[in-house]
Amino acid sequence: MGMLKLSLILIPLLILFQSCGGSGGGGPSGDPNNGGNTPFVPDGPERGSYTVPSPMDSLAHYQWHLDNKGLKFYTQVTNTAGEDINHQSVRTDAWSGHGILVAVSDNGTESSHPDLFSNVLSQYERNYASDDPSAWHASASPTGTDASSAHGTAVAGLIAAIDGNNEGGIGVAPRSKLGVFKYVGTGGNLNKAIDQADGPFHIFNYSYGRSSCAFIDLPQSLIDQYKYGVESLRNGKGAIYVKAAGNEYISGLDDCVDGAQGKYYGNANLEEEHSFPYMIVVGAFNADGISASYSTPGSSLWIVAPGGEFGVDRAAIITTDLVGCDSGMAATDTSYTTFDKGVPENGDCSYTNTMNGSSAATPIISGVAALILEANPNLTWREVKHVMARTARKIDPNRNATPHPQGANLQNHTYQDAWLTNSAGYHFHNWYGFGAVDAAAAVQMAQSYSTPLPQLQETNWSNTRTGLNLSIPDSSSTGISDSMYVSTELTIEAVQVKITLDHSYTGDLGVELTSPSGMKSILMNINSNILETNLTDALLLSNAFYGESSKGTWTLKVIDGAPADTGTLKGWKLNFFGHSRTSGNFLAKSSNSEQATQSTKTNKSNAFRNSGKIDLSLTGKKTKKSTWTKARLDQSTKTYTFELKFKSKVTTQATSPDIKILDSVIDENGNLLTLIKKTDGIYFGGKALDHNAIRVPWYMSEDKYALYTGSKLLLNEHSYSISNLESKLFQSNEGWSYFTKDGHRVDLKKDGSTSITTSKDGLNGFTTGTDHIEYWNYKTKTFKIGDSEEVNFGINFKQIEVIKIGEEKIILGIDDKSMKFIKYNTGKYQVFTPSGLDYLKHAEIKQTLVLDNVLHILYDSDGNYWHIGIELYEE
Amino acid sequence: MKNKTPATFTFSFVLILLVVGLVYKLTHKNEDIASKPHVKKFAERKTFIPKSTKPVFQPKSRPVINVDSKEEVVISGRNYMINTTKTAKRVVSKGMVQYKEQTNKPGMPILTNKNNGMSAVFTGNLMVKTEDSSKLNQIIDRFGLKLIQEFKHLGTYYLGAKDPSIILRNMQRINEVLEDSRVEYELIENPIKLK
Repeated sequence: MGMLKLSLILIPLLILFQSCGGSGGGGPSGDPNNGGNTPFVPDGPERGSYTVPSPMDSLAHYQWHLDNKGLKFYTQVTNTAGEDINHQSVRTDAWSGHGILVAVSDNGTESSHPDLFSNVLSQYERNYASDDPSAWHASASPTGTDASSAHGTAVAGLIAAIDGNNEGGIGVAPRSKLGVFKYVGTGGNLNKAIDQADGPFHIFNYSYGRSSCAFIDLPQSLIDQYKYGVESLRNGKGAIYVKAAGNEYISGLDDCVDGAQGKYYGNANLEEEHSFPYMIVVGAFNADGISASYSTPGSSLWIVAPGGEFGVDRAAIITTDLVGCDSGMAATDTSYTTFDKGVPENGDCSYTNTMNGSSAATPIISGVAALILEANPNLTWREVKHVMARTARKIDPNRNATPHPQGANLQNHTYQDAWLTNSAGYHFHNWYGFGAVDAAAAVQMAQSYSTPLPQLQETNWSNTRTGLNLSIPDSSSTGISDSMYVSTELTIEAVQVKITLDHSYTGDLGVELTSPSGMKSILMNINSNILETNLTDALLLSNAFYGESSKGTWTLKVIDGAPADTGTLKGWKLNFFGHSRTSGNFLAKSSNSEQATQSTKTNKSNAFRNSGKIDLSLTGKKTKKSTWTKARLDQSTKTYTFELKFKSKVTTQATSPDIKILDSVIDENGNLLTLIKKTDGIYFGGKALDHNAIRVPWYMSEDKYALYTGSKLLLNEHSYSISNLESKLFQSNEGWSYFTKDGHRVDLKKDGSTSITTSKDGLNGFTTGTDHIEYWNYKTKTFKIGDSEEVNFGINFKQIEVIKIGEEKIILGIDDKSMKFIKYNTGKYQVFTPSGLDYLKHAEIKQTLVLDNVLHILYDSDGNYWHIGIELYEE
Repeated sequence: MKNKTPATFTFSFVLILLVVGLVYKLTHKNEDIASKPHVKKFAERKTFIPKSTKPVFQPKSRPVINVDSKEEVVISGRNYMINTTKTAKRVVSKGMVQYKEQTNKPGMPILTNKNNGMSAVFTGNLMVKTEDSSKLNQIIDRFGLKLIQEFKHLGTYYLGAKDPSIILRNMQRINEVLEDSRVEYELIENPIKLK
């Protein structure tokens, strides 16, 4: 007796938008190779002979999503210049989407619109209003003039509004061609859902979705269709499916259940179509470069594009509308906006300035995908995604961790993280995915793309944890954590998670996944109010681990964010989509960044400044080889090789011509420190085999330096055995001073010939510094620099530094709330915390941030972030 | 007449109010989003929380199960309650398909998901993935089905139901005939507006 699989078909019915409409092929045996349509043949002129129209169509000047000039146009608030998709140079360079066919599966489109008609190809129109498949691809036009088809008209214009016709604005890809479908609102039947995802199209645009107030399974047949689409369409290179994340940052539960009271806090992850890597899930940002007030966040987001606000106070999106002031947006009611009703720039009401939502962001991404494919038609669907992620702009870069939208926070719990950077160098934020799409950068990368991604592999849920019965602490940030080791090593392209738990109200629950590198991804936020009791194999997806290795220990954490309801975690599974790492990491944003993390973890080495790739070969009592790698500020890479004898005579050899080993020392604990100098005068820091014992290297000038461990100090060529060292070594006019654990002060003279002096009573309120004054009071445990605020420090006070790199400012401390930040020199910052930190104890390297420069970030056993060994002195 | 009568005064006052009101309306046309429902058409305006306002978290909202029957069905591991007095009717208006609720009339069964309270229309249509298409004939006549569409590239067949309630009652029998096959029963769900 065979297994009979019984599945549930759940179809998006109407989703966010109303609609109607289509035509061709289909029938009881629609042609799967072309979806019932004839192959697409692009018209001329080819790109090389195409002349960019000039001047640009008049409304394009105000289409901030293309080129945000910091204007306002029939709105109250001025836009923020530069918050756009960086389209201007793309147009200048004559990229236009030529040769690309996009399916707009929506609620109908006015094909005869003067700004669309020559780009809408009637042979690719479809209307799914009928239940008879033979009618879908035939003759019925999806054109509509009622308000319900305004949406599809607006979406179509964002992709392919015609350029150079002195009419309205322009599309992102104004020479791409469209097949427009009337699909949304035609009943939601499964066969329609499958059919509309098939055909000779390069890109499918889905500006619709379901409410994310509950988990709803996707029919396996539809999943099969999407998989078929990426494996077989576009001659095997795969169709590009682009999908709106949703507009449910806060939404009413009556979205899902008639009469239900209250709000839920949307999560793009709950719509199962988003939980497969076949979709590019798109969020929206506004004209100020901030997540749009409605945009649904989630770890399944890939990228964001302009979606605007509401076009009244703050800008929405300007695009095509149904022609005429008695139809489309102008006819929806009598209180339409000034622009929509027909101002001089919009005399026949053919355009709207109130299109918005992730519905608007999605066709902008589809347009950029058309530009990418025009630039390089050989890219696969995965490579198109990769190009977008790789070139995305880190929008809203200073966004801090954010609380619950309506205050349902949990003590000691981060509701929504700030931007995080994974070990492959990708920034990720649940509001933004990898960031804002950058059309110019994407096209540029696509043109020169030459390294095909290895074949896609899937681990098929081979990593599971079942039979658990772990109680989830009620209303506690502690949560319950469970880990599993994954032995398969892939470069991750997406991670799917299935969760099974019993809980009387899953709307309380947050779910977090942490990778072996320490990268965290929030899959579900606490207190979402979603309508579920118990979950069985609930599917979630995260893109946050893109480019990382799947191998290692993964940890799932479930947090109950509110009192009263309780439950247990029963099990969870992981499914990785990725490719082999044997030939290197094809996705790494920085070629060295991930290796840096791995080697740093192995060696527990201290950080370097401007270092390149360093190979350490250790011989002696303990023989081992390891690689120590870091990215560089100037983004070039150099390799240095050292031969070092462990815990005995030290010999060093630099193979790079511009490197000189100034000195090395090994303490009695076997920690090795080296001081390195480049010929350009820049000092490197020191490093040790055991970071638990190393102290920060210190130097003042090219010929004055000091290295010390917890037990031995090297000052120029003189070393001193000093026990009981405690706090930070600091510099004075005469040399260096520091404190011992039992309250002694130790002074070292700069000339290297001086002796070490100690004082038991000289610790109150002295000053020092070459270009500033530091005030210390060791008895009252206070410190300040110049006129800065006096800060407290504990008996084990340690210094944490802050590095400013370009426009990036990174503040690190054990506790953000208590951390003090002091700037006392150009390019030099210090941060102090009152906490009792023991420098580097308990710390393990969890993450490497790759910015313009490279930092090594640690966090200790309490989860507090540190950096170590960074010395960024500009002088 | 040197003095205005009370009637004249009242008339003037009312006139002034009207003028002021008209001016206000003309000059404030674009400021009230709430009065412009079409503006909310695509992306619903969400509640902004002013910094000075203490956020108020909405209390938990549990699934509401408003079903007049305890009759249940399990589909794909999910428990649904069957509404025994109400059914759904498919209505096409201006090209839009809607499912409307009706009482004590034949139609498509309405199910309610016990875990989340959401309603779904059981259309009776099913998608079958099978390598043995001959088995389809066994269920087509027996259960009042019709082959609507074949997706060769997926190896699936989409069958339409003449009477969805028959399919609902005979799912187990259909499954037995189509053993070794994958059967997906079509549900129209989220959001379903039965009006």
